[in-house]
Amino acid sequence: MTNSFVAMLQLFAATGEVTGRKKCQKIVHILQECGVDFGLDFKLALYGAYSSGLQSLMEDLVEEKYLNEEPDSCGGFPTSRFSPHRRLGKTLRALGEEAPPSWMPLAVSLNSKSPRELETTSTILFLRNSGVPEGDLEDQFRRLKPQLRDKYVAGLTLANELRHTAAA
Amino acid sequence: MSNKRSKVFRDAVHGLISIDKDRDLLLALIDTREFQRLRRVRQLGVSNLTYPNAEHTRFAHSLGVLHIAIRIMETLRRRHGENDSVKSWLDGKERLVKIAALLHDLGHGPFSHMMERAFDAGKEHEKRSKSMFTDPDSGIRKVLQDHSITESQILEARNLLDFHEIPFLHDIISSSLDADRMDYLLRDSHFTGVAYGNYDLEWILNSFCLGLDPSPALEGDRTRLRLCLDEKRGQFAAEQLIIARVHMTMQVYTHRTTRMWEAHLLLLFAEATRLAFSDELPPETPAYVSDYFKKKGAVSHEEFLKIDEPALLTCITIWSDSTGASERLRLLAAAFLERKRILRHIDLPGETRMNWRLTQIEERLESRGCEQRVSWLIDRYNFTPYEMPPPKLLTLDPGAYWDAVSENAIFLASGELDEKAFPIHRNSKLIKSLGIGKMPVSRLFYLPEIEESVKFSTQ
Repeated sequence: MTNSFVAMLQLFAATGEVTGRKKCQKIVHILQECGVDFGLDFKLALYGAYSSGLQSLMEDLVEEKYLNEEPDSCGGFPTSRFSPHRRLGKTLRALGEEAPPSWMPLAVSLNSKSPRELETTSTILFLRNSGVPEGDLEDQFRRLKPQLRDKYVAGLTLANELRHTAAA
Repeated sequence: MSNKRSKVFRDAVHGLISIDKDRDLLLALIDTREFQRLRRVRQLGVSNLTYPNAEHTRFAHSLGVLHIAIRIMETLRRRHGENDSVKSWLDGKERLVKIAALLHDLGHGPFSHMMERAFDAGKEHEKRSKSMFTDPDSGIRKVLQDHSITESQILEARNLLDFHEIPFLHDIISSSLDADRMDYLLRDSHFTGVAYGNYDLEWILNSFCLGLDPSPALEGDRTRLRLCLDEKRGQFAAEQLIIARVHMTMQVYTHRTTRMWEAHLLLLFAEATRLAFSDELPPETPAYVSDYFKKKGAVSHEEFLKIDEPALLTCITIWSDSTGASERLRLLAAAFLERKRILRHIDLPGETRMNWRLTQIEERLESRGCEQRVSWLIDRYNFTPYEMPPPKLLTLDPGAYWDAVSENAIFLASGELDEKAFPIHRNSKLIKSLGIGKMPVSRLFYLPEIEESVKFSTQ
């Protein structure tokens, strides 16, 4: 059984804390690009791949007390820190979904990266998935994300590594 | 003197749809097998079982989207055509926007959105649409090449469905105020006879203008122009469109009877898929249909072009008479053709996808040996009339706030190209009150034989 709700509970059970909705958006998008089915649609928005469904799901998870939300900051800007509430673990147990999913190490590794790194990789994956040919990828990326130019090479390396992870 | 008639389509919604500029290219695209197939895919799937006149097709809708996209660009040219940048963007990209508008729905499977729930591959109709721009076997690609559209322009037209570095061009194709939504609301309203879906298209078209994206992260970027409505003209018309969408969603798109027939077909197609895997579909079933089920919709371009509603309805007719293969297949097929209701349902009021009770119901049913998609399914539909970010985000997580605004807002603007647009919810009390409300619809549809298990599982 896979649905967005259970997959999100598993994600937070795996990662513990995640700082910022933007980071959460990028982690979920990258995981989904690697074949983990969160059942969410992503578009390319201001800060890269973005899912309205996920945005709304995050609000619901906080409202229904599966997640705690605390004010935090990232690069000097205000943001939120999310951590799993006790109810999250109880619900996963009640659903028989408490075993860590196979993608847990990848989720934990992605959570250790900065939002800008994740945005770069997530945008590259989005463009690839949209059918942008490899030869045009960098040019298209730089036109859409001039502010992330300096992150492109590292982002591409991670995207390529993930391609192998997904294939494996 | 030249004397060339416009190509004119009579359209039940827009009156006359006239194609003048780029006529040869657009008509050649319309004449492709890929586009003509849309005549055989109805816009609202099985809604005709609820609303008898809902027989309109993706073909007519796609022409309507082209028509509205052209008219949006005419308004923008009239209003901002003296600005060199806007003029050059419109001059350079107009043809690509038209191509994207016309071809945006090519990848829809039979019964439209219902098929997205049948197979994983069905979810990817947008991907399928995009692949037709570049697939070497695609007639679309050949027409584009024959009309001197370069490779990079083909990719640009295709990418307009997802993004563009000049955002207003993408907004015309995909946004909260795009040509697609403006056409389907009016068209679906007209053909279902549900008058709530109507809104003032002419006023909206007349109110379009451009304004700078208000996101602080884009400060100073003068290319980030968004498609907006004039702040002095557009607000009420936009409100009316949003209300129309709410009513159409509740009254048409999530109508209980329609969703029940969708669930019925989903059970039927799940059974056909099971039989296709073991080569047990009735032998009269055409090979390309068996293949479609066996591959769960992930078929080649050529095979996809054959999969339309007449093909599947023919099979349903064959199956309704076939006694050898599967009694379940026969029963479901016959009941569909005769509109004989079999499925029962339970409304799960107030349940959202968040509520783990839905997941619990699924697990309980499965634990009693009732297999999902064999004898039951839960239909979850989560609708938000206007996806306004929660106001608290503006201070708590401003990046997330502006991301949500940039993606979902309807923008109002003064029309001065160096002034920022603003989201409609800043001014509209009506949208503010509607915006954060969610309207989840969840129903359990099931066959009568598992009534006892359903009672147990939903207690």
